[in-house]
Amino acid sequence: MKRGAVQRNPLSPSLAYASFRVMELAGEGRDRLTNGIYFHKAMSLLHRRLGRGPSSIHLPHCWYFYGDEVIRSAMPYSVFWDHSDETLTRVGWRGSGSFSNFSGPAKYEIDSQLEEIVQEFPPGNDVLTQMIDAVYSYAPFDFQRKFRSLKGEFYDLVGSRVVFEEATPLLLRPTVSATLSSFPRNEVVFQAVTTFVPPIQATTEILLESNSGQKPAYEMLIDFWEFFCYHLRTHHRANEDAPGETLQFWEEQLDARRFDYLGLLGRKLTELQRRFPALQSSDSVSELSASWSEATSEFNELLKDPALEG
Amino acid sequence: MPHPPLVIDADSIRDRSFLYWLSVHYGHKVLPVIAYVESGLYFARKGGPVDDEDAVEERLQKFDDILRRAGVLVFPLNRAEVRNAVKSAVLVEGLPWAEHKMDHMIAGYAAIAPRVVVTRNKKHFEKMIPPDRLMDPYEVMDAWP
Repeated sequence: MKRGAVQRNPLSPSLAYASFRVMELAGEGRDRLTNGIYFHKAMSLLHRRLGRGPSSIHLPHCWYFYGDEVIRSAMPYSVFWDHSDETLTRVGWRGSGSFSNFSGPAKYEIDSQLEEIVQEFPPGNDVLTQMIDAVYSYAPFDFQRKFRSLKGEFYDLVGSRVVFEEATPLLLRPTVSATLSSFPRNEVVFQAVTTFVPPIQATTEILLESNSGQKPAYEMLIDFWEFFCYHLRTHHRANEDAPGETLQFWEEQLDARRFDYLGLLGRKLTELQRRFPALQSSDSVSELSASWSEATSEFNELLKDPALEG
Repeated sequence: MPHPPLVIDADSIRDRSFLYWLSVHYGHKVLPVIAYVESGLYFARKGGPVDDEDAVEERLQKFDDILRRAGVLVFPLNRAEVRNAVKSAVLVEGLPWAEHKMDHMIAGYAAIAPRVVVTRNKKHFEKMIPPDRLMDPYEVMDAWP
């Protein structure tokens, strides 16, 4: 879709109807409060099954940290997000939910597809993982699926109460290597992220050779994933029906995110090099440390500006 | 536990030591757009004579560069945040809109927990933001050294 062509349309009947129906089927109480993850995934599955044909709900959505999610600011006005429970975001519906003017084949399609989705994934916490798996099966980049599996392997080690230090590094190292090797490094949108792949790969491989290096390796991978996701959502294959101004806003943030991530990684590597001297011999790690030092010097020069105080 | 998102007031973003701290603090650091206007104006005027558009542009580019390198994001207010700002202006006594537009708009953005307001003027916000989410730059730097 041409950038900027999408406007938030509170009257978009099929999107509003689909959102309402998901909450009607899965929500509770007057506002039909629905688990946020369930809502995101059900809407993604519905959109996928309806396709881009005449029954399309034109879901504004993007791939991000936890997979495919709707773009909140572009959803109908009646949809609201409830943060009263800090541990769980819920989605609710404001208003009557009267769709007397919405009928025909599109409504029928939405109803029948949602019925199947709810049968396959009855609302509740125990289906969320299966839903996320189902959604990830059509992620635009194989790297996303591989990274999800990698996280799963780490979680399994933690979940089975195997202390990180006692886990066998050999279990994880091949998966980490295969995951990072699948990084879509030829995509222009990911160019700034690609430069971090070699030092991340070198560092995690060295850390996983050490018995106490698995926890920092995991943290480093999660930081990298977060940095990647800021770029991912701006990729044309990772978003649909996103308002042009939203995409522009996300793109404007990328440079600041890069400096923030470079600083985080530089500081972590400095500390890790003390604990794991083998890291000092990696060229890509040394290159990254040099870029961080250069960025820090440049920033210190900027801070000499007379308009600043203190 | 992740650090809370920091919502920075215009009076704090021009503090050199706080800017340095921001550059070494990884997390969500936001300058609401209204605070950007105020601090950008201050930065442009304080840096020497700015008698033409090119000079202002150059100063603002430098200001943007500082923000970028400190990892600070400039955010507009969404509908819920704007509504919060209106509620703040209507309900908080003693802070008339005409003189406290910026405070109400920053408070509107920061009303959503767990966002923390960073300001040198805590008094301006104490009727709008709970005390555990209201800090001055030095308290912030001490809390997450």
